[in-house]
Order: sequence, then C-alpha cells, then structure tokens
Amino acid sequence: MTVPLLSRLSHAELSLRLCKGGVLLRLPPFIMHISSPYAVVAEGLFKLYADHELLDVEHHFADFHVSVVPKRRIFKPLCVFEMDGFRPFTPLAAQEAFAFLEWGMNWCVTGYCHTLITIHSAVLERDGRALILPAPPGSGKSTLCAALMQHGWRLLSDEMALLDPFTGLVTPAPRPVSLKNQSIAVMQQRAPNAVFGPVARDTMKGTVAHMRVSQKSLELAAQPALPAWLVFPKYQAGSAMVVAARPKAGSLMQLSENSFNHHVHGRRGFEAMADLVGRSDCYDLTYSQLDQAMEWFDNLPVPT
Amino acid sequence: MALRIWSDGAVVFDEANGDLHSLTSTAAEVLSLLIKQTYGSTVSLAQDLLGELPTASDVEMMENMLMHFESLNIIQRRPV
Repeated sequence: MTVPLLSRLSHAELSLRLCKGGVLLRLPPFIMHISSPYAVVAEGLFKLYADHELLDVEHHFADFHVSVVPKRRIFKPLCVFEMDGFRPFTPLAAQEAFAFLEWGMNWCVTGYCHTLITIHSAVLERDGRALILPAPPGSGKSTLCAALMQHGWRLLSDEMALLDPFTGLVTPAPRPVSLKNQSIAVMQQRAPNAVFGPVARDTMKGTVAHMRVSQKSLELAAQPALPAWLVFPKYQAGSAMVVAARPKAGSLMQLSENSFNHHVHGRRGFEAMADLVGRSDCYDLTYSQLDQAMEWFDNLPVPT
Repeated sequence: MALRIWSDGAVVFDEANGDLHSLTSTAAEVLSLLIKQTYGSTVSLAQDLLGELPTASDVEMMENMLMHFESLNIIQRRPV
C-alpha cells in the first residue's frame, strides 16, 4: 500500500488546508496536527516536509495540535505559537512564522515527551551506530550535522537525542536541519541540490533557514540506533583541527547538562545516560574546515 | 544513590534530589566502601581503603574527603 505523502497536495491545496482545519503529519516518532494562515508556513511545509506522511484527520490521533496564528496584523505584524490553545512564548515578527513553528514543535517534544530522555544534541548514524553531538548554540553543531547528512550519514535529529531509558537506543526524529547566519550560505554552496525553506531574518538567533532532511534519513525513521560516539564539537574560525579524548565522567556531567528530563526517570535515567557514555568513545573536536572534519568522522572506529 | 566509575573519574547520582556530582577515582572508591557498609571511624575507613594502618596524614585527607561528601549531602555522619 502506498503511503500518502504531503507532496500529494499542491502548494495551493496545502495553504487552504492549513487555513481551514489543518493537516495531520507523521513526524516520526510523533504525529502533529498543524494549522496556520501564514503563507510562509505553507511554503516551509511544502518545501521541507513533502516526503512526510500525510494522515487522515478523521482516523488518527495527534500527539500535539500546533498552530502559528496572528497576534497583531497592523503596523508591526506579530504571530504567536499555540499548542492545544496554550501560548507558551511571547509573539514574534510574522515573517518568522515558519521558524516559530519549528521551534514550537521542538518545545512540544522536550516539554511533554517524557517516555524518552531528551538530550539537546544532533544525532547521526553510520553502519547502525549513532554519533551524538551535544553542543551549545554557536558551536557549529547544526552545520556539522547538515554536512554529515549531505555526506551520507543518516540524520536522526538535528536538535535532540531521544534516548530510550530501557533499551539504550536513540529513536530517530528526522526533521529539517536549522541553519543560522553564515551556515546557510556554506551549506547552499556545499549542497546545491538540497532544498531550503523560507529565510527568516532578524530573529533572536540572527538569520535562520531550514534544510530538508535526506530521503534516506526519512526512509529509515523507524530504525533506532545504538550510540557509539559522543563528540563535543566547537567551530573556531581559522583553527587547525584538534581532537582530544574526553574523560567519561566529564562527558556524563556535560551530557546531563544537555538533558532536558533525565531527572524525570530517576535512577533509570542516570543509568541510561551512564550506559550511553560507557559504550561510546568520547571526544572534544575543534575544527574550522568541514572537509577535514568529515574525513575524521568517516574514520571513527566503532568502539569494541 | 548510584555510582558509575571509570578509570578517569566517576559520577554519583543522588536519588534524593536528582543531583549529579563528579568525583575522582579515589573519592569514588571511598564512596563505594561507604555504600557497602557503615564505618565507626575515619581511621577504620582509611584502613579499609589502604589495606594498612593509615598515617595521620592519610586520616586527615580522608577527613577532608568526608567533609566534601557531607557538603554535597551525599553522606551523613551519625553520633556514635
């Protein structure tokens, strides 16, 4: 049976549905009901989520009902993100509506999905084993993540590792990669055939654009992966590449800083994160040249 | 309390409040002993760790370590 994809809708049909009733999309491992009257939201979904499964609103349960709606239409138009009618954030400029939707959907997961441990990091996979890249904003995590995906690694997530506290596996949640400022041009140049969504300028993060997830990442979205490498990246312009093995204890402490909810799982959460660190090779990586970094990642040995 | 020890250090998880603390390997070894049994004195604990009678300096270092554990609220001393 053929799975209906969002691409079955024309841009005009999608815009209309988003305005009247919304669309139900499978964004593995969740189902999101999305609605919005903004053209930029329709444009973003049309370009970046074309290969995601479109579900029948009448016959499926949505994990989250989200929308970006107008807050003020005149002078300086503002929009606001809603989840089940709840508005957790202050309004943003209307031209940021699509980026706001992306950030809001991330918030839904980190705020409400507590069956899994959510860790702020990018996750990619090679040969069945997961690479986890926890890092603060500005570290080059998303650029590295986009470049690795373009280089053939499977993307599990650009924003969060969803760690199963019982199996130790990371659940994929492949969605567009969020790129900021100079990283947008860097990736447009490296991946001329990649699809990019609307550009939001003057956001609190600067200029933001999202890059579509690879077909392979989406096709394998039901396959979790066992962590093998924990790498803390840091982009430093002009720097030579420096790799240093990182102590396990320090890695676990840092990982816990990046976790949104391991405390919810108590001892099991601690054990799961300690197991992740225990089975992974841990490194600090300082880099400035993406090609050099790609080569290093490609040659990472699988831990015994 | 849960403890995870590696050759380059350790982390203890305090189930009472969800806090994590980074420890040296030696501190983790001491905490392991305290998790297994109750000690009547700093000297007996130091002796168990070292496998020989501790010097005054050993006892002082052990005392400092216990005070550090107390400041982290991961041990409590009870009056004898």
